[in-house]
Amino acid sequence: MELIKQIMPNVVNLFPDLIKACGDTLLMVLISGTIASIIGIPMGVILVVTREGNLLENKYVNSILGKIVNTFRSLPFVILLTAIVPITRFFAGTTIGLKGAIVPLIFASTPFVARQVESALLEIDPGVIEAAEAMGSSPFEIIYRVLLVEGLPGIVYALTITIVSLIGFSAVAGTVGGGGLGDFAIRYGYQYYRMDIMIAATIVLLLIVNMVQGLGEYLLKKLSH
Amino acid sequence: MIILKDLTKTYKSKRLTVGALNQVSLTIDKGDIFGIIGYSGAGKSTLIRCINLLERPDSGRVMINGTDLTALSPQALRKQREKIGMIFQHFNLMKRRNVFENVAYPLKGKGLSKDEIQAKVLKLLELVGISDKAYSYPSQLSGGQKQRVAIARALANDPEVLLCDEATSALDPQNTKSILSLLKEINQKLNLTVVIITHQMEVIKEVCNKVAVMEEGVVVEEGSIIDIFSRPQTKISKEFVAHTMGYENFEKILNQGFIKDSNRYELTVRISFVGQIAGQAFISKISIEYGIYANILFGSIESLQGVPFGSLIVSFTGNSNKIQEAIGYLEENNVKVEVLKAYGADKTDNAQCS
Ligand SMILES: Nc1ncnc2c1ncn2[C@@H]1O[C@H](COP(=O)(O)OP(=O)(O)OP(=O)(O)O)[C@@H](O)[C@H]1O
Ligand SMILES: [Mg+2]
Repeated sequence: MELIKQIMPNVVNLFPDLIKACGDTLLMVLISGTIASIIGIPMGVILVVTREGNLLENKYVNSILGKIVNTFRSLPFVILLTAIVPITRFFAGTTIGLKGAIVPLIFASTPFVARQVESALLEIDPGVIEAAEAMGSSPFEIIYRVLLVEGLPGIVYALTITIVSLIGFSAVAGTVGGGGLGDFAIRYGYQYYRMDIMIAATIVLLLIVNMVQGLGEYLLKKLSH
Repeated sequence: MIILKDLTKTYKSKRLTVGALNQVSLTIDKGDIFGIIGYSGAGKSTLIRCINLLERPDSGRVMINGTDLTALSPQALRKQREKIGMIFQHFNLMKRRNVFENVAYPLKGKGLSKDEIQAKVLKLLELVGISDKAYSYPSQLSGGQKQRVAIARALANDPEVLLCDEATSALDPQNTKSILSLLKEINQKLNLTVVIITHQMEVIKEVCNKVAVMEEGVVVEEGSIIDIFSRPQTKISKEFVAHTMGYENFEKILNQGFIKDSNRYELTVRISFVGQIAGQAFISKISIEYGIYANILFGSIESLQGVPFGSLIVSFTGNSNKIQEAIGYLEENNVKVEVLKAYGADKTDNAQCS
């Protein structure tokens, strides 16, 4: 303890703030990740089933949704953050703090989830879908009894990657006053040249990322046969 | 009964149009094990996929037990599909469901209780001989075992028809045999109509009672398996039969004209014997009675669905009229004669005897 006090004096002093920042980051990631999944997974499914030759082929839906997703995916997060300020204000009532960060995080990660889920579902053997069709399954039944079941490991993995990148995004959101570990590092560390704060925040972020990644890979293994 | 009427299907892409089916009509009777054979690209898969409308033909009709499937609404079609089982070359099992769950898949939402589903699945697994693997996942099974699971799944809703698209093509010869005998067994036990697509005559010969031969989107020949084997009409059928009976190389040699004596009339024929008819005795008999030489060049015996089927390739020399009479005598006695080659001075009546 003494040693830590010597190497990282500020961290020890600001320990409660570090814990709070950590909690804020987790909360931001959890809320935006959940909402992004709720919207993004169906979007990914739609992107797959409306493809040419697929269950519910629909050129128009597919290309419009595809374009929207691509637009949001190609915007760098910092630009997205500022570009959607009016939308953020409309939904969250504010553009700063935890609430203000969550809206842009959702906007950034939903298209990401959609594309990841899409590519996970495209991995499913078309023969399996065909077999279900031959057994008399309806498109809707195939979606929730074949695609989502067979694609589950892929979806879990997609969500893992999404959460990892959300942690990164959340740190960026923090730098513009969004709260969380990014905010903590900038506000208490960078602005006062307190190197130990920066390092501590980075280490905590790394730990979280690795835990999420590890958990995701564990689930993936567990779910695949 | 399945009636396919004038099915036509053309695949169009930007640059290419492929005529996959051209006015195909077939009638498949209840209880048949109906084989459809052809080389790669002949349109076999397209045809079988038209039977349950996985592929919609551009024109033509698909009638199953009097219902025109092409005229049905999507819901009604799905209902009909429950009565048409299908198995595939690559089994198409769901990786994340175990054997039990795969077979239970088509039973869900059919108004059955959990216990009823359980009983039904176990019964099906027993029927296909794979009860001990109920809780294994597909990745833990061999190809033959996977196909058994697929068969159980296809039978779950008590279908009247089972469609098999190259169901044994990914299996080794031993597994192929055992899957084919399973198909035959369920055909008899359940009075199920089975349609088998294959590019191997061995498969047809093992289980089918009828066969259609396809080439470039057209059914070029159709008939009982004995007919096709004893009197193939088209070049492609002749090739398939020659290959299966093992005389394809022999025909090549024949065509090079190695047994040729242009001074004498010589007729090379393939004589087919079905069931109990003893080949050898007929040959010596006609040789004596008609005063002609009969030189046996090749002989083989195969089993067509368990019925012994023999082929002899015989070269007759002598008086051409006498040879014709001898052939007539054979045919009267239900021995099928197919002319392979005629040589020599007197060629007047080659054509008649084919
Ligand atoms: N979806 C498709 N789009 C375009 N062309 C297709 C399609 N499916 C099949 N074809 C073409 O239609 C023809 C018939 O194909 P089909 O798959 O029915 O042949 P097959 O007899 O089953 O061959 P194989 O023994 O190789 O399976 C082929 O020329 C093939 O290239
Ligand atoms: Mg095929």
